[in-house]
Amino acid sequence: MCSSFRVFRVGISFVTMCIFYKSAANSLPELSPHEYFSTLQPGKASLAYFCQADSPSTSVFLEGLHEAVRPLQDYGISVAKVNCIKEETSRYCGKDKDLMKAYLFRGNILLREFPTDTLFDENAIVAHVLFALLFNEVKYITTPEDLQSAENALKGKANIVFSYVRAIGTPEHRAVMEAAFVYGTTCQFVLTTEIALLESIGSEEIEYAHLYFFHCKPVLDLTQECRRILMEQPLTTLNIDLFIKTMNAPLLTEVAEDPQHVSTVHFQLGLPLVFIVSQQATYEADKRTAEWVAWRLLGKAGVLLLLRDSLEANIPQHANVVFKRAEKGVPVEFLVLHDVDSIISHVENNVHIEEKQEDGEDDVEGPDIDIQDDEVAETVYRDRKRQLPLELTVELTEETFNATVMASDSLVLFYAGWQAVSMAFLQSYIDVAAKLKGTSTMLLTRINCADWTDVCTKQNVTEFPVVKMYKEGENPVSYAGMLGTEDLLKFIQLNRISYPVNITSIQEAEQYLHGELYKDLLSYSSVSVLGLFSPTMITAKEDFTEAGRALKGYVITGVYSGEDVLILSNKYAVTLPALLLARHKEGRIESIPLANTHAHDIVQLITDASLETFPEITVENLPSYLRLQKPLLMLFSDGSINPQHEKAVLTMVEQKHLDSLTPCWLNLKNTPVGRGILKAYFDTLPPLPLLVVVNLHSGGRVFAFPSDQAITEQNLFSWLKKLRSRIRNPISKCLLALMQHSSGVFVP
Amino acid sequence: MWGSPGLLLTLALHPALAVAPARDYCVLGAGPAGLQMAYFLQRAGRDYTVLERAPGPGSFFARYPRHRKLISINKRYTGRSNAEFNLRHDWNSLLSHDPRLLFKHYSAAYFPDAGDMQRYLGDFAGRLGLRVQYNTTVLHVALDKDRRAWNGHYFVLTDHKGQVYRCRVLLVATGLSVPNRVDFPGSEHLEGYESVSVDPEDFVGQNVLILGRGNAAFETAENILGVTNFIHMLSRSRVRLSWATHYVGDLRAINNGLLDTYQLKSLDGLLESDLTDLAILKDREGKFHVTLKFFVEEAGTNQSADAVTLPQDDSDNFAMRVAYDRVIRCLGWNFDFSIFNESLRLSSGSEFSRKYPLIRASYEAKGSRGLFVLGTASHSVDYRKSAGGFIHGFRYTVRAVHRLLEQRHHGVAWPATQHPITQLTSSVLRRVNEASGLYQMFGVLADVILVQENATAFEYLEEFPTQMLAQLESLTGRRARHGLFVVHMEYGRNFSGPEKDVFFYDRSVGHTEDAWQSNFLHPVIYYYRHLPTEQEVRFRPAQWPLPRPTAIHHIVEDFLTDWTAPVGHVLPLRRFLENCLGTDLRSFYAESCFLFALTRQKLPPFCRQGYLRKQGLVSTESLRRHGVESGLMQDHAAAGQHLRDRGQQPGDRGPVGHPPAAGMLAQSLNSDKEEL
Repeated sequence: MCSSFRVFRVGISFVTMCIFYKSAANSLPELSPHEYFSTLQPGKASLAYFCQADSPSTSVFLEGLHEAVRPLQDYGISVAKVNCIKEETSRYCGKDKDLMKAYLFRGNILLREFPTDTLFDENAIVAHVLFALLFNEVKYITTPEDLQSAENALKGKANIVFSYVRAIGTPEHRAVMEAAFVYGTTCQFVLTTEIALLESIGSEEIEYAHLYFFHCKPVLDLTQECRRILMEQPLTTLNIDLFIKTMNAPLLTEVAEDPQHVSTVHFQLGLPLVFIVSQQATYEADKRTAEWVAWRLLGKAGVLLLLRDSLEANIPQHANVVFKRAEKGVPVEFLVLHDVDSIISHVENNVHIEEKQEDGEDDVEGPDIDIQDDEVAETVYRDRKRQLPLELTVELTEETFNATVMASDSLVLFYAGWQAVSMAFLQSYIDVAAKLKGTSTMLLTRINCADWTDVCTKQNVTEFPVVKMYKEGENPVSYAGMLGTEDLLKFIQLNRISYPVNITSIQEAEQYLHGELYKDLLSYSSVSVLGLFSPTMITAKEDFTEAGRALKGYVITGVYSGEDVLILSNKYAVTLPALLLARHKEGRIESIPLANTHAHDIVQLITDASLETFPEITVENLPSYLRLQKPLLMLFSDGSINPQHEKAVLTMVEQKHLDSLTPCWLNLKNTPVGRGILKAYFDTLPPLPLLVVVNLHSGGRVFAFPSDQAITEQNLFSWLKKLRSRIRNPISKCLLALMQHSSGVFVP
Repeated sequence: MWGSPGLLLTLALHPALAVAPARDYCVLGAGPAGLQMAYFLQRAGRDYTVLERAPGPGSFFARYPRHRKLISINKRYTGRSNAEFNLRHDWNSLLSHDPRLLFKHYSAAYFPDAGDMQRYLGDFAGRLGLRVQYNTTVLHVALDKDRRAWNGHYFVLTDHKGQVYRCRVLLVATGLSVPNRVDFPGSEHLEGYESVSVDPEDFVGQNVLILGRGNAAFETAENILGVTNFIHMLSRSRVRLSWATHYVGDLRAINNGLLDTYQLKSLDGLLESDLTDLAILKDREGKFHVTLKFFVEEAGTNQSADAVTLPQDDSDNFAMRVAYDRVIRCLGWNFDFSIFNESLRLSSGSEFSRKYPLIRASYEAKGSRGLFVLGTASHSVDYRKSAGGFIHGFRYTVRAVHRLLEQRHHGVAWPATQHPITQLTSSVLRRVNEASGLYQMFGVLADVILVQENATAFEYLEEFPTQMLAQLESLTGRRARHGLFVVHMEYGRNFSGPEKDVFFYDRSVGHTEDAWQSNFLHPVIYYYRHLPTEQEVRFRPAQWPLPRPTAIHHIVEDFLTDWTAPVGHVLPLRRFLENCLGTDLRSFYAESCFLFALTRQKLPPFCRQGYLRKQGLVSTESLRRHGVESGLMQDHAAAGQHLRDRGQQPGDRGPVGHPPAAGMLAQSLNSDKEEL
C-alpha cells in the first residue's frame, strides 16, 4: 500500500515459510515447587513433572506431556511442570538430573510416582494416570482364578467389562481406561495383560486387544456362567462406549407401532433393528425366539417383538420379520425367514460395520478444510503447468481492443486468469481456434479481465467467462450456448451468414428447404426454418425477422415474402403467415401457422419444434428436453438402440400414448455418465437395455420396466397404464403394491 | 453577474428577498476534493459551480509543502496493467475516465514536487472542462429557510465583490487553511512553518527549537539538519511513526532523518511536554530561553529573561537549558470556520479532532442538512485511521458523497450490478484483488452484497461508508431484506499503534485457520442476516469497524496482496459464503450436472443457472483426466468397461447381483453435499 509498508514486508518471506500450526490451549504451566504446592486443591488430582531448572526445555517426554494436558484436563486432572530451583528444595526434586520423575497427587497426597520412561507418549500418560486414579474401578488380574472369583463375586450384582491389552500404556489401554472413567461406577472393569488368561476364555486371535462384556447381573444361580459377549470392533474410546451402551440396553422390547417410526437406543447408535412379527396366538413362542435372536445379535442389532394384532400399519401377510437398516430414511424391508440362523445371517450380511473415526476436537472443525471439493477448480489447478497453444488466439489489451474488434469480425473471450471456470473454458476456446485455424474469417481473440478490468467493465462484462461476437455494423452479441468446443464452433459456423436469410425466389426457397442452399451448415442446425409471408404482412414479417436474429448462431432461419408466396403455402397446405420447418435428418418438412405471434413466442415455437420425438439424450441436449417438464421415458442402451425397441416406442408416440411423457434413449457408448445414473438408481449396473420412467418434476421417482418382459408395444402400454395410476396416488399407500411391478426409486 | 453590489446589504440581511437564481450544487474550493466533486457532478450532468479564491486550482500547493516535496507516493510501475489495481499505489491522481489524467504522466519522481501537483490540477480542471469560477473569495455563508428547497433551506454565499449565490446543496472543500497557533507567554517570538525561511544558509551554526512532531516539523528539521548546531523538537505526545501506526498522516520515514541522528547520539533530540505550559523568553542577545508559564506568571510584570525563573535554576540538568537562536512553530492547520454564519451550526469536533468541522459518516454536517464537507476537512471521520484526509482516500469518499446525492435528489439508486449467486465468490475475489477504494479507505468504505430472495442472486454495491450501514436502504435506494455481506479490508486488531513493534517475529500468518490473526491489510467479510440497526452500529464492540455479524471471514493476509490462491484463499472464502447462505457454490462440469439432473431433485446453483439454461461448462479431455485422478470425477467409461468384462463371464451378474425389477426397492439417493 505505501512504500514503507512494501519495503518492510520483504523481510517476511522467510518467516512465512517456517510457520507451523500451534494449538492454542495446550499450555503447560511452569511453576516453582512452592508455587505448585500452593495451587493444589483438596480432592483434585494433579500430575507434576519435577525437573531441574537448567534441564533442556524439550524432550520426548515433555512433548508427550504437552499433548496430554488437554485430555487430562477433560478428566479434571491438572498438569504442571515444576522447576526445581536452588532456593527451594523439595524432596520431589531428585539429586540426579537423569532421575527426574513425575508424581501424581490427589490434593496434596502422593498417589503414585512414575519414572519418565513409563510415560512414553500421550496415550501412556493418560492411561497410567487414569489407571492409578481408578484403582478400585479397574481390577488388574493375572490368572484365570482371579477372573473366576471376580465373576462369582459379582453374579446377580453387576456386569463385568473384561479386557485384555498387550501392554499398559498402549492406545487400547487408554481407551479402556477412558471408558472405565465413565462406566466404572455401573460396571466392574477387569483388566489383564496375560495372554494365558485370554486363551482360557477361548479367544483364538490373541494378537490384538480384546474386550468382553460379561452379563453377570442377571445370573442368580452361582453355578451358572455369565454370558460373555465379545466386542468385534477395534478398541477405541468411541467403540467401547457404543458397545457398553448397547450391552446395557434392554435385551428385547415389545412394540405395537409402525416399524418405520420405531427408534430405540440401538438405532440411535447406528445399529439396525430386527422386528420379530408376532400375534396373540403364538406370542409365547415368538417371545422365546426373539430372546434367542436377541442374544445372538447382542451388539449387532436391536431386537424387538412386533405385535401384529394391535398394529394399524399394514404388514404384508406372509412377512414374519421386519428389517430396518441403520441408515436413516431407508424404507423398512419385509422378509419371510424360516429359522433363527437365516435371521442372523440376513442381519450380518446387511450390516457393514462402519469404521468410526475417533474424532478429537481438531477434526470437528472439518478435517477437509483445505481439501478442494470443486471439480473445476481442482482440475484447472492440476492442469496449470500444461502449456496451452495460446498463440492461436489474439490477446487483446486496452490499447488494441477497439482497433481489433473494429477492424474485423471478432469473437472475444472475456476471462479472468484467477477464475477456474474461465480457465477451464479457455481450453475449449483454444480448441476452437485450433479447429478453425486458417479456415475462418472470424478472428478469435481473448482479453484477461484480471489485467484489463476497465476494458471489460466498458464492454459491460462484470462476470466471467463471457464470449461476445463483434461484427461490423452490428451490436455485439453475447454467446449463450454451452461453454464447450462443439457448441461454440457451431455458433461461429452458423454466424457466417446473417439471419434470417432473405430468400428471393420459389426455386431458392425449395433449395433452402431441401438443404441444398447451405449444405455446409446443415450439420450445425438440426432444422432449417422458413418464414412465409405475403408482401403486405409487414408486422408479422418483422416479428419473424426479430426472432430469426435472436436465434442467430443456433438455428438456420430464412424468410420469403415474394408475390408468388401462395405457391408455397398451397404446396405445404398452410395459411399465411406460416413457418416451414425442414428436418433434414428425417427428410421431412412440417408447416406451422403463425397468427399474431410475437417475436418471443416465435423463438419459443422454433425452439420447441426443433426438438425430436424420440431423441438420443446427451449431456448437451438434456436441458432442452427437461424444459418440457414431463417425466422422461428413457431407454438405456449399451450402444445403438435396438430397432425393434425404437419401433415400439415410435408407434406408441404416433398413437399418442406417450404425450404425457418425453420418450428418449441414452447410448452409454456416447454418454458414459449414463452408467453413473443407473448406479445411482439401482446401486449396481442392471442388465441392458433397460427402460425407465424418471419422474423428476413430481416426487422424483424412478420406475424400471420389468426386466423379464420384452420391450414391446403391448407390454409397454400395460406397464405405463399401471404406472400412471401409481403416480397419481399418494406414495405410501401404493408402495407395496408397486413393488410387485417395478422398482421405485425416490430421488431426493 | 447575479445582482448589483448595492443590494448586498439587503440581501444579506433579508435573504428571503433574494432574487439570485439558485444553483443545485455549489462547491467551495478548487483543490483536489473540489475538482473531484466537480468531475462527478459534471459527468452526471448536474447544475453546479465551483467557487475558488485563487486564480487557479490547487493554490495550496503553490506554497505548501514549504520544501516542495510531496510525501504521497507516485508509483509509476507495479508490474500490473490493471488500472484499478494500480490506483492502490497511486496516491496523487484524481478519479476520471481519462487515462491521460493520471499523475504518473506529470512527474517521474517517487515523491513528486508540489508544483507538478498544481500543474496536474490545472490540467484536470481544464481538460475535463470543469466549471470553476476563479478569483472568487466567499466571505460569508448563511442559511435561507425555504420549505420548497431540497433541504428546507438555501445556502446563501456572498463573495468579496458582494455577489450572492444561492445553492441547494453546499459542498465545502476548503481544506485546512488556518495555521494552528498555541498561545503562551512569548509565543510572539515564534516563526511559523508557513513563513519560515527554507534556505538552510539562514540556519548555519544555530540552535533551533521546533515545536510540533508532524511531517511539517520533521520536513523543516530535515532541511536544516546538516547546518545547525543542533535541533530540538518539542511536542506534547510521543512521535507517531506511520509505519507503526499504518496511518499515512503520521511521521513518514522519508522525513525521519532526525530520529536517526537522535538515537545515534548526535546533538539533535526529541522532547515531550505540554506546549500550553510553556513560555519563551527572549534575552538581551536575542536568544530564546524555554521556561514555564507558571514562572512567568510568578514574575509578574517584569518579564525580562533575567527576572523570570528558568527551570534550570531549580533543576540544573534541565534538558532545554541552552539558549536557542530560533523557535519554529509547525503545529498543523485548522479548518476555517470564520465564513460560516452561526445558523449553519457548523461546529468543530471533539477534543480529538478539534481542527475539523463536525460531520456524520455520510460527510454531511451534523448541524445543517445539505451541507457536505469534502476532502482534507472531512478527515474527522477517519482521523488517524484511514486515508480520508488525503487525495488517495478522499477521491473515493467524494464519489460516495456524490452517489448519496444522486439518490437523494435525483432518484438515481446507488450503482449496483446484478449477478446470479454462482458469481458470488468471483465477485468478491475480483474486488478484493483489485479495488483501490477498499484498499485505500480500509475500514471506512466497504462493498456491500445484498442477497436476493432464496439466495439465487445478489446485488453488488461498491464503496459504501460502513458507518452508515443502518441507513443503507434509504441512502442507496436498494433493498436489503434477505441478508447481506460487507466486504472490506482491515489490519490486525492489535497490530497498529505508535508504541507497537511491527517487525516482531511471527508477525504474519500463512495458514487459513489462523487467518483471523492476520496482521497486514487483508480482506474481511462480514455476514449479516438482517441489516444492522443504528443502535447496533453505534454501540458496536470497541475497536470493531462494524457491529457483531452473524458470521465473519478473514481471508488470510498475503505477502503479494494477491488473494487468488485456489486452496489458500478461494476455497475457505467459498466455504464461508456457502455456510452463510446454506447453498452449494461449487462449479461443475456439464457431465456432473447431467448426472445430478437425472438423479436429484435439487441441483447446485451452478448447474441450475448454467447447465439447465443450456450454458453448461464442457470439460476437455485433459481436465477430465485430472478430475478422475483427483477422485472428484468418476470415470464412467472405464467403469463400464470393467463391468462389461465381468458381464462376459457366464453366471456372473455383477457384484451384488440384484436384478432391478425383482420386486425390491432400490435405495434412495443420498448425496453428501446436496445442501450445505
